[in-house]
Amino acid sequence: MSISKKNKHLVNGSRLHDDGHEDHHLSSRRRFLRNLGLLTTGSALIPGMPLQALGSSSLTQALLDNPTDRILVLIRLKGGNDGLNTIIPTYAFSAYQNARPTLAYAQSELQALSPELAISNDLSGAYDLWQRDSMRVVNGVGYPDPSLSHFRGTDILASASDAQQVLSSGWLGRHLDSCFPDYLSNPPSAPPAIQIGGAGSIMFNNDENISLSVTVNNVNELAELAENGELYDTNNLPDCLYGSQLGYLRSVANSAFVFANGIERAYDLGTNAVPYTGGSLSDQLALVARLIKGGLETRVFLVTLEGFDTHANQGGNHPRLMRELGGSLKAFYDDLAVSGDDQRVISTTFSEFGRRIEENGSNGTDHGTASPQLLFGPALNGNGIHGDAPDLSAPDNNGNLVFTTDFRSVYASLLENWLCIPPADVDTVLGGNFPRLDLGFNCTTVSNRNVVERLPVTLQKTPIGWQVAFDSEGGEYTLQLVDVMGRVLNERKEFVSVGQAELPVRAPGRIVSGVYAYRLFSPKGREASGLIPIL
Amino acid sequence: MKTIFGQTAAFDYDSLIDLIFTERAVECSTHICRKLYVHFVSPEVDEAIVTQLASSFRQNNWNLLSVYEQLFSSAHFFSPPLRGVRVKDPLEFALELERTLGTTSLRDEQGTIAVWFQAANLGQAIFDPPDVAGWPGDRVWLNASLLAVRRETSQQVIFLTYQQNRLLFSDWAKTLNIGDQSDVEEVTRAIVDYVFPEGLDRVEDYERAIDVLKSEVPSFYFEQNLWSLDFEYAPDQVAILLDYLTRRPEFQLC
Repeated sequence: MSISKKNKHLVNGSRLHDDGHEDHHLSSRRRFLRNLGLLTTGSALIPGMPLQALGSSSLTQALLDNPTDRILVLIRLKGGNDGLNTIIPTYAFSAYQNARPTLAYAQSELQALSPELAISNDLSGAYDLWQRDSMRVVNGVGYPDPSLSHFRGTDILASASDAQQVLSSGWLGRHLDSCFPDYLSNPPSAPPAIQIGGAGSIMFNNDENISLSVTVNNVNELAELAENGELYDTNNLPDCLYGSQLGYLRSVANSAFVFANGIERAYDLGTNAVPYTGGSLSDQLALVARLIKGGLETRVFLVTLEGFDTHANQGGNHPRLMRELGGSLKAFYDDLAVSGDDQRVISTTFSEFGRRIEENGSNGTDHGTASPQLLFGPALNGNGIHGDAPDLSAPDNNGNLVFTTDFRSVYASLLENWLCIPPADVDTVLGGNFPRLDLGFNCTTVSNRNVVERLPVTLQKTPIGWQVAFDSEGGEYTLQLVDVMGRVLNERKEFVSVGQAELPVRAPGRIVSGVYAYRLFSPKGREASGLIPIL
Repeated sequence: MKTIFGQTAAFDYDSLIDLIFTERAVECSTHICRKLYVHFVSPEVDEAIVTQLASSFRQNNWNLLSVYEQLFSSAHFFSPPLRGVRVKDPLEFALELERTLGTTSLRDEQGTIAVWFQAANLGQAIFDPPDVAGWPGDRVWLNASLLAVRRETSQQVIFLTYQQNRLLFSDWAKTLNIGDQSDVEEVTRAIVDYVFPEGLDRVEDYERAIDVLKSEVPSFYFEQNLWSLDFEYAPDQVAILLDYLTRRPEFQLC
């Protein structure tokens, strides 16, 4: 294919064959260094547990446990969604039509959301939610000095960094890390996050490059896991020695995947009550709905819809993607409404960038900048449009839309007012104070759950093993040695007098090398835990 | 003076061992050949094969080389039912990682030390078995904790290779027998089948591997035939796939 239409404003990287477009190299190299090995179903023991984490500082102190049963579903529109054909700028309709001779929607194909904005009939599923007060639009979402590389753009969105700043952790990883400071040594019963697709994403990585999500490579993998309660099939094995050996190894790998039972239980308890439209996103949302209805305590789901890099033949592809997006979201909320779970689920789209105002010479659009972000769910308590729509007649120096709302404002609003994180912690997670949007939900009705108080402990190497050092409050302390499956291998209770104290971590006789964890309980109910490599 | 097997003499170590090998030649040769069989072929012993090996062991004046020649050139050794039935011991695991990735030269001292260290880390300190019976082997090599360490080891080796030269990954993939290096499914299959000579048993497992190789690259590149092993991001993609494959339970068998 060729992209022939020349535009003096085109910034390097926005077209397919630019040098800049191939600049993936540098950013992808960094991302790879950061992400290597965090493909969690492949690796899942405790997902993505790198040993080097053992040497680093203890996981972040607990800020608080998430005090709600609220769920956030992130819908990734992979490849860069064309915002102008998602929410159509009727405020500048002739400019829009002139820029897009073959791709522009006609008035007759649109439903008005406001005097300025419209939605196409291809998104009629979403319009249905709009009419039910369950959809909001944030205009012109982006960030200063935007990147036009898929990989860098995806990283920026996932890490919530500035354009010039390279962070190795994701905004949700930093948030969840503060909720689960003992994620590795004392994992929760359900994975904090589940990610379908996007093997290289850093969204859920904490500062130590540990992913706090269970990542599956496609929806079938999660369905299989949920159905069978195991990562690897141990039932259909060849009837020979190879089969029996493989069965053994798979059962070892399965036994270490701590979340399998919880996911299976939720899958068995939940059912889909409405038909879904079929298709990739629809299959993912149907499964997510079933797990939510089954009571899985996972707080964040990431699903992916592919195909938005519409450099060519956008006229056929983008409307199809819009129909899939709208149709599957409508089914998702209809399904959740049957059990009343729709009130506790907010969904939001995001994409690494929008596309250019003008179509290119291949009936497509090239990489652009700002685009609208869509939010769904009855908890939005109304429909609405937030932020100013970008001015089509006043693009930036490269001819791209100028953003009007920083994407971190949307993140901050979701963290503070949906997931109920204290404002100061939100600013810490996002690395700055970004204005909050009033998206129709808040945290006033939510009460705080009890949080176990942390006990500060240092793990020390001794000539014969490991010991924990801590400031004793006096009384009987309990020290456990636990394996990666959470089984207590050894438990010792010892009276410790007030002051600086050390307790050796003892193994029950001979122990095979591997990764273990200790847990220490103080007489006043404080806890500490951490990982120990025994070699 | 002692009387052993009806022979009376003042035995020292050498003469006693000679006596045992003379008086109990069948038992000794069978015992050693059975150990070799378990080590190299399968934990389930084919006694008929062991009997043959033991016989030629004795006929060749206890020369092990002849036993190895016979075993490693036999049709039995290569027969399909005996593939993938052994749990790799830590040394095999470490060596295979290095060999597959072609990273550290095993001739250089650092590479050798790395392999030694990795094997020791996984419970096999070479030349230092736990007792005279040697390592128990087979399934004893792996439990959930040790599997974690193996996965960590493969991740580290891939990581270090990537740091050395990321292009090694796509260069390596190009040496495989791939008809069309721009066909992402064909490339995936070739890599999977190289790493797992037995292949994966289900089409779903291949689909997963294909999704892993596609990684963060938008589908547009594959639909428009803009992708190949020369693609900018291909080395990263191959590394990510290898990381996924070496973490699968199948990788622990040989």
